[in-house]
Amino acid sequence: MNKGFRESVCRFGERGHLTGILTEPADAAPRLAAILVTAGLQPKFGPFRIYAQLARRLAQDGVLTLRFDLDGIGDSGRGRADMPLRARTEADLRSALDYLSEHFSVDGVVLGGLCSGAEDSLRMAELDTRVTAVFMIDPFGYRTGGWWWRNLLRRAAKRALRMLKLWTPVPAGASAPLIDYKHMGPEESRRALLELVRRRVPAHFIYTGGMRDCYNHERQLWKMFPGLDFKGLATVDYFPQTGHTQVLESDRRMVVEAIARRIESRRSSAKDRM
Amino acid sequence: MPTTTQVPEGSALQLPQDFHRTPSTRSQPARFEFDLDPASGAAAAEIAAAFGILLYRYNAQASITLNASRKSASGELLWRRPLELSTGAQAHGKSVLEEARAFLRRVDDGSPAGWALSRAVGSRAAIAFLESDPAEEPLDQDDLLLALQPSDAKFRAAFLYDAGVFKRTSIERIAGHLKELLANLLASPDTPLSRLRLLPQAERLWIESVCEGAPRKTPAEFVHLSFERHAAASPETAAVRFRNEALSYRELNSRANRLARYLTAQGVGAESRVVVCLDPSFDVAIALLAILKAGAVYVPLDPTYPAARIRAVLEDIQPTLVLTRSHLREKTAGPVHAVLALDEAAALVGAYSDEDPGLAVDPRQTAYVYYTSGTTGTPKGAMASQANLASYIAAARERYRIAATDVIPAIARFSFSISMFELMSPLAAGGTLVLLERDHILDLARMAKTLEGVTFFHAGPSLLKNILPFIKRRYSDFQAFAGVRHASSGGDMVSAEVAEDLKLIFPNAEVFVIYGCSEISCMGTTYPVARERAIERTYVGRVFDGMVLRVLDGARNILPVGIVGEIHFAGDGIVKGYWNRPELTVEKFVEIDGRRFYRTGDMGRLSEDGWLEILGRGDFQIKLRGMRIELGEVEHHLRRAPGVRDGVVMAGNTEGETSLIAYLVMDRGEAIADLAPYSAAAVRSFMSEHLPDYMVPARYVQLDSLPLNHNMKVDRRALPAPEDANCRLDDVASLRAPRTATEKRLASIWGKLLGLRQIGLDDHFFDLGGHSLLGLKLILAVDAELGVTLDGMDVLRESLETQAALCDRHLGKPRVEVQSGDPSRAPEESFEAFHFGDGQSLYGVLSGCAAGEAVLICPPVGHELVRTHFILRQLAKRLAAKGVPSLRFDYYGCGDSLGEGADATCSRWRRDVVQAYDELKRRTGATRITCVGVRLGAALADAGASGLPVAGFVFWDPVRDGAAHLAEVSSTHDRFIRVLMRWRYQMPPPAEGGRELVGLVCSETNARELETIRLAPWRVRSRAPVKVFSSPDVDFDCGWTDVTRIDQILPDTGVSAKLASMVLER
Repeated sequence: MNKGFRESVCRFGERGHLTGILTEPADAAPRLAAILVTAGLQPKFGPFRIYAQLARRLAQDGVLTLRFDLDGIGDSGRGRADMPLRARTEADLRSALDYLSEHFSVDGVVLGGLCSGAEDSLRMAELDTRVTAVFMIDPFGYRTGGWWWRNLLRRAAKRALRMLKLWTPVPAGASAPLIDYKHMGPEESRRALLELVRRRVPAHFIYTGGMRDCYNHERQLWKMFPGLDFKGLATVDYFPQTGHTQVLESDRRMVVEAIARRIESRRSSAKDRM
Repeated sequence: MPTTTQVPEGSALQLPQDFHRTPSTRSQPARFEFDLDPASGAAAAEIAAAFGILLYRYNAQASITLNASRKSASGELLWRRPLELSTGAQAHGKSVLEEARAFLRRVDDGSPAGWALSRAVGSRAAIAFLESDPAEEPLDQDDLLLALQPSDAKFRAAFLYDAGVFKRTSIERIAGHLKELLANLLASPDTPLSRLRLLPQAERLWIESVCEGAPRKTPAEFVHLSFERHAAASPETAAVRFRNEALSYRELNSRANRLARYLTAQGVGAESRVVVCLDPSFDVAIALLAILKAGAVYVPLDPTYPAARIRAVLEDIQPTLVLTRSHLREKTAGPVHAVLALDEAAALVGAYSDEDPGLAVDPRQTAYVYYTSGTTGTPKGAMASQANLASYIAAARERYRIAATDVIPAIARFSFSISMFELMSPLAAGGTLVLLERDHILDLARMAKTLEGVTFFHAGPSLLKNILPFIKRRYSDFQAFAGVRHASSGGDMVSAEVAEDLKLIFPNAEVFVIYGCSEISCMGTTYPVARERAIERTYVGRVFDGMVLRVLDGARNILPVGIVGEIHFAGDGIVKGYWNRPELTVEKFVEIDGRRFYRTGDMGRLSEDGWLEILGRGDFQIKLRGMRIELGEVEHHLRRAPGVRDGVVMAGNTEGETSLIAYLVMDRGEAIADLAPYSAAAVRSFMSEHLPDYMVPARYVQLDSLPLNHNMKVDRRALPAPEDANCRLDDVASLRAPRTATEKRLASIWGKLLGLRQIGLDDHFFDLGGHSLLGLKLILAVDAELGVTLDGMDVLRESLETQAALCDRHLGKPRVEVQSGDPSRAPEESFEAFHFGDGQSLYGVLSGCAAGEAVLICPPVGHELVRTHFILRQLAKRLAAKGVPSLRFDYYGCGDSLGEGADATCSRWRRDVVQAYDELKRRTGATRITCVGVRLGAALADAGASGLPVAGFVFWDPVRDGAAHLAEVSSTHDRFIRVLMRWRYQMPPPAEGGRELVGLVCSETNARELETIRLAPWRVRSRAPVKVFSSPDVDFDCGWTDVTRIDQILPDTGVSAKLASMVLER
């Protein structure tokens, strides 16, 4: 029934206050682990259960996944309540890495998540050398000259389509976010990425149509960081037709498969190098 | 019947002061001499009587008491006596004269050469009869002294006054009033006091001229015809914007025409009431225009109102048709009227022609009905004609020069009449209307951004009081707002601070205050705030063209400049009356001098420049954040609330925020702390079910009895300030008190913002009534006082204790622990997460320890599960704190349980309930298990536990009809898709295994099972006690599937506390 995975609940952290779910390959000992970092108030199954879906998909490729609720969110208790939010998140992620290190023998740990979870992953990857790869869904985006031109063209095209009655905008919408999340600034992201490049930690970016206000081309990443030589460690999947939280099943599958594919290809190339 | 407004006896007398006396007011004695009446030869008693009558006419007191005395030529005080003059309803000139004469006969020889000194008790007015030069008479503490010196058997008169309080021109007017009164009194002593002429003809003519707007030269054009003219002239101009989309005049006109023709085809025409119950969207503008084009009556109804109020309005207005959307269909349904869901009727309506209907409209036929608060417990509808509407919009357009270049946001709720100004002014002028959702308006950063892109806006002072300081704080300069050419406010008192901030932030804007109400089509008076000088008083200005203003006393006499009376309006904007309320119409719309006036109930006065100043209400109506509220209506519902024996409602002020305070006496009269928490919470819940959110009291104070005055009426002035009373709904005895300096300072900030004295370390801001605006204020206040910027997330989820710890950490302070040592070592919540059930497929979390009693929490499914996760966890914590363990779990294919949504069925979910019940029983040994069911979880709990010995059910907004629920969620999902389609050019492929419901793939089997669900709490009750909790902010029939509104309850605005109380209450 479980299609090649098994799940168990774990509690870890300095005071055992963090609650997570381990998704392990059913048949073989995992050689790689992944930690899925939640965003905002989302519980550990992720928006529309995409984290649960991703963890079970990665298990098919032999990857062990830990998804857990950050301090005070979901089913995790209060731990370092006196810490500022960012420091607390760092402490939680370090606890998750410690937990995996203590209980499993894996070749590396991939950290990743959506939105703030993506940026928290990058911050942790900068700080902790146990992180061997990062994937980020809709992290920071900075408008470039190209962005402005493409945006102008897009608007003009929409207007033309509307005038030709080939396309009708439909007014409707989802809710505004409860918390107005501020993305990581360019100085911080550049510094973190430089550190990842220095350590040869690959970073995979996924940008969706939900970020079109600041990201509208697959190769915009490289323009966002002029002069930064990624040394082939950065890759991007650009899905302009999907939304930020992937409300559609087909979109979720596309994102999940993209991540699984990247992790698998990195693992293969690492094996090849060996 | 005219009513008489009387100032209570003993109150300070009202004089037309120009400046308020303050401790720093420097006394500036001044003198104004005038000829009293050379022809009358009035005696001392007659002048005293006239002076008493003058004070009566200024104050409408039933008696005027003067302390009379006499001084000799040497200044020696010969005698002093009180002179009481009866000025009640039966009094007339002769009776007052007789009293004055009799008094002087008693105390004096009556010689005109004698001197008397009269002093009005409790006032700063006096009258003096002097032998010596009046200039030598000390002014003492009196602001005004009438000095009379005999001369050739007559009197020379002088007013001695304090120039720090009165202008000379004001004194001249008072002298004129005294002369006019005296002459009239002597000529017609039999005249009732209220009919004696007070105003000299010149002053009366001046008042009438400044209070009469210029008559309209030509009749105003019907607004829908103005719109059609612009649609023909500039078809591609953007008419209305919503979110990131726009409709051109051509598109809007075309859609409105189709709908108008559809309405006509359905028999909708003149005097047919069409209720519009819509959230902000293009449909609002389309529906409004269509109704006007069809010649029907537009009746807006706020879909966020509780079901009971919507029913009350629908029953009252008896509409022909309700225009709404499918998710509101059930809420707006009725036995007689038809309901058209615009989202489902696109094809139906689209089949009609988009040509202008061109129907003839009679200016007298009703154009709209706006419902406002009513004293009898039911709202009342103000009914305006087409001519009223045309005049309303024309007055605004002409006065503010609204043009085709203007971009105007609609900020007011559509159910308030000022929204007509915002909606129709741009459309009738060829400009662009910007529609905004409520959460957009309340998000200060987004709203500030919106204001950068408009040219003209009107907003209530309560919104401005929040957004203007926010802009001042967040923007380094205000160039971003340079495009705003008009900023206005009204609907409530506009403070000088708000007006000054408007001038500062919008450097190129003309700033106006607007005063009006539904009954006068909103455009009563307007005041241009001068840029070049500071604001001294909050004037509301002069009348619009076509309108007539009067400040009248209780006998409907025009009052002089500076004297407070009730504000009346006549003119083009005066509406037809109240729908279905002929008695009230007769009471409020009165004929004076051949004109039909509306009595506003507002008290005000004219300045000597002709500006109207508002000073408050003369009755029990208040304005709260610009919305009119009859306190009587709120009290009517308060007294019907469960357990309430009596109650009154007052407006109170906390930290500059006005809110409603309910004072209640419970049936048993216990102190509130002794009551079960739910008893008090139930009152709030009851009020929320029957009144719109803005009418639900924010604070509740329980009293043993209401204070009464000597007439055995409730003495509202004797009610305790809420700061002095216990306003919390829970047990304050168990609160952990703040200990450290930071905790105490933080508690103080919370207390000020929330209006509470007692805050505990474990309290959460949103649990105590905090909301997003207050949360923002909290961040700003903590930043200002402690120098720490709290994260929004921390405000949302952290307790007072944790927030204080965060502040200390930011400040680098060592924690001073009294009890628990390192806060990071604080006691951990007792909970355990595990898998259980078939093949360990279900994920659950047990909170608390073994006990005889336990609670099974059955959550909702799909996106509703995510949105309630936080609240249900809080509920589990609260129950655990009371020694009651609980199990939360996820159904198969949901949350952290195994399985895919597409594989799940309702049958499986019902089985999950049974397995969770067994698991809870096994782990806790409980013999008494209560089920809490949320939304669909309620129906699943009912069905799943049908064969189990459940002690009781608590349902939170239960889904009662599975088919309707499925339709609602499908509709929400469609909205998500439509958002995606903004940048997506092909429809997404259908999901494998079933239909998609906002992230949940639902198989057709499951959909069929869902459609069969029926939950009737009365039926469940036959098995076990059932309590149903309806969210105050969300109507369960629609709000849950509306993600824009369910966010409102995400921060747990006390929901978990209420649910816990309901569970624990026996």
